[in-house]
Amino acid sequence: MPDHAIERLLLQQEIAEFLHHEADLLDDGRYEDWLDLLTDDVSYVMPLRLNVALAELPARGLTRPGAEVCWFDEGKDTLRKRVQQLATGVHWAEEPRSRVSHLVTNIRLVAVTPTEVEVSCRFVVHRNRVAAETDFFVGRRRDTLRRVDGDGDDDGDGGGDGRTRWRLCRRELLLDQNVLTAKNLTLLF
Amino acid sequence: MSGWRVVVDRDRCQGYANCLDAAPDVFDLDEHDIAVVLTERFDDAEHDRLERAVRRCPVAALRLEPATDRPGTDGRPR
Amino acid sequence: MAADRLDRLVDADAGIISRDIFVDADIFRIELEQVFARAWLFVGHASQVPNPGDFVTSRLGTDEVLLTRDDAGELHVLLNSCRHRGMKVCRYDEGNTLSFTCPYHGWSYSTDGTLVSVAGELLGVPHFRPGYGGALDRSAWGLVPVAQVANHHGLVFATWDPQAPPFADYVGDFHWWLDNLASSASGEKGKVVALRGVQKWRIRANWKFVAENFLGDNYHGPPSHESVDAVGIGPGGTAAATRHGAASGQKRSIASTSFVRLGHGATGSAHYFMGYPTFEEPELTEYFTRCFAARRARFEQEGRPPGAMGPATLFPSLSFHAGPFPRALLVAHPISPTETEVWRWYLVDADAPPEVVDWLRRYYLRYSGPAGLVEQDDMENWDYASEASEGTIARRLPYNYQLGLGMTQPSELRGAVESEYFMTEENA
Repeated sequence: MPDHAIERLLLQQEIAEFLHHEADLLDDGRYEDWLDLLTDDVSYVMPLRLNVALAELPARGLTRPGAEVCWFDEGKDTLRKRVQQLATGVHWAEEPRSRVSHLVTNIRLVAVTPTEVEVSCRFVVHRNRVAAETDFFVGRRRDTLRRVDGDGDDDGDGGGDGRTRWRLCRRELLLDQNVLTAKNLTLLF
Repeated sequence: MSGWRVVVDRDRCQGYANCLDAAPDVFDLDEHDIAVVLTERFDDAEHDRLERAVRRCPVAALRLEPATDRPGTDGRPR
Repeated sequence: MAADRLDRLVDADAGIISRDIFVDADIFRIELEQVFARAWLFVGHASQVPNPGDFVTSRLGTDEVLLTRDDAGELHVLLNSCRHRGMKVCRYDEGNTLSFTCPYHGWSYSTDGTLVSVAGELLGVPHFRPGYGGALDRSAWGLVPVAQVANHHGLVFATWDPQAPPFADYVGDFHWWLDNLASSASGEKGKVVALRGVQKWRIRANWKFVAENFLGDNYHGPPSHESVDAVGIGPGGTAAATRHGAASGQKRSIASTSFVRLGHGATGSAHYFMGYPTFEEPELTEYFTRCFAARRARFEQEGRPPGAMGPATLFPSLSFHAGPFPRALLVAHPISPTETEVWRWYLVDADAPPEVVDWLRRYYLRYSGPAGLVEQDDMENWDYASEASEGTIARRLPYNYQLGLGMTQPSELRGAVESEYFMTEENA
């Protein structure tokens, strides 16, 4: 196998490991650690999905982050508020805490530059809440990961492994729903 | 050569007959309930009336275009 | 259902209300007929359909409708159901067209005044001549229009009932709240646009939990929203102001306002005004300070009371915040006794600078809607209150509405009372 193909394979594996590690942090409720995986200028968006005529779909099928109504359109400041709210113990929409699993799959590197990697993937997020309340959130995701200086080994485990060399700087979530069937979006995706 | 002609998209036409209502002297339906145009070429004076008839088609099966000497591919002169 | 049973559901003097009102299927069906088929309901904002041919789909109660603007610029509200077999003639959320052709059998309707005499009239049907002998009465089989439409400075309302009172009578003096909802931060009526995109989501709660929450229920605030108040989402940061924008030391509203016969209600009074906050961003402080001065001058000139900011509910299902912080509205569409589809619109000043619009948009999104740090906790309470009221034993027990009971005084507004304590359940 040529060197560049092996390099690409290793990169793909490293990115997948980062995304799976991130999912573990969220499902373990380690939200502060999850925040550390985001760059300070992170952009986190989930536009609305609209029913429009086929010819209009490319231009108007999604609401525009930065200008129109979205489910999420925010940066690290608001994400930090969400994490702080989850930690209050009186955030009733997540108290008692929901049981959540993030499945991240169909991982594909879309663009690789010396500083950033753009990744396409699918998510299935399952939430079970209180007793029988159950929601599935399914959709596609476009992430941009930024390579950080050094080996980024700040987790204290002594290794400079792949999952600590990257930070998430952009996440676009396309949830496959028009009317949201869940009562709220207390989750971090 | 100046003037106008009306072209029917026979795959789109569903026999609404709105064009007949608008201009009964210009349109008819064939045995399959598909619109046909009775006249090949129209004077400029007819343009506005034809345009109104064309706009009445709910499925945009009619087209008004400048007449040329070359017959259209989907226009079927009677 | 027997009328005497309905009478037994509410004891207003004792402050006792049966849970059946919130969970019973028979009562729900009566509400659809007697309330939603007769009341004035919010359809959408005129700025959603700015140009001829623009349309959006909306709901009135359990019925889906089209809000359209015809080729002459007039607004229409039409039932989105083909007269032939009932198919939705339009399944898009928005678009631009003057004709709606049903995908099922091809019946086609028009809002083009040059082609039809009434917007929504049947333009044509396939096989009109051989199939119907050319005799189908197109004027009798058009899309069904609502009985009345009212455009209140851009807020579009409709009712199915031709006998419904005129919109102005239906609203009464509650119009001060609607006027503010429809006004810019500087108080200019109609100088507001809806941001594109309506949030729509399903909750497992009776629609009245939503209506009541905004109708004057100050009581739920501290317990329900303790977590977001601990975190602080602005405007102005945690220390400077509350999440509504009131300065943190500011005296609370002394009253809620209830329109006893009309059914509308609001937190606060027509005179209570919480002021505009100071922001971390100087350009926002500059903008809103300028707006506030302009508003005060305008209101004095026009004789408008300074308050009427809400939260508030227009009977039955339009709930809103009428101040800039936030300026947003929702409609609680009934689906079943214990299911509701909530739609949310967000309004901004039509002439605000882009940085102000963007700040407001982000603030609205972190405040309201299913991802809003405030509203998330409301939904949890509405849903589980509904579920826990469905039990065989639980539903025999009434709800308690005795808070503030008998502590009201007549308001200067027609048909309204004000509570003397800032928390009251008189409004419900």
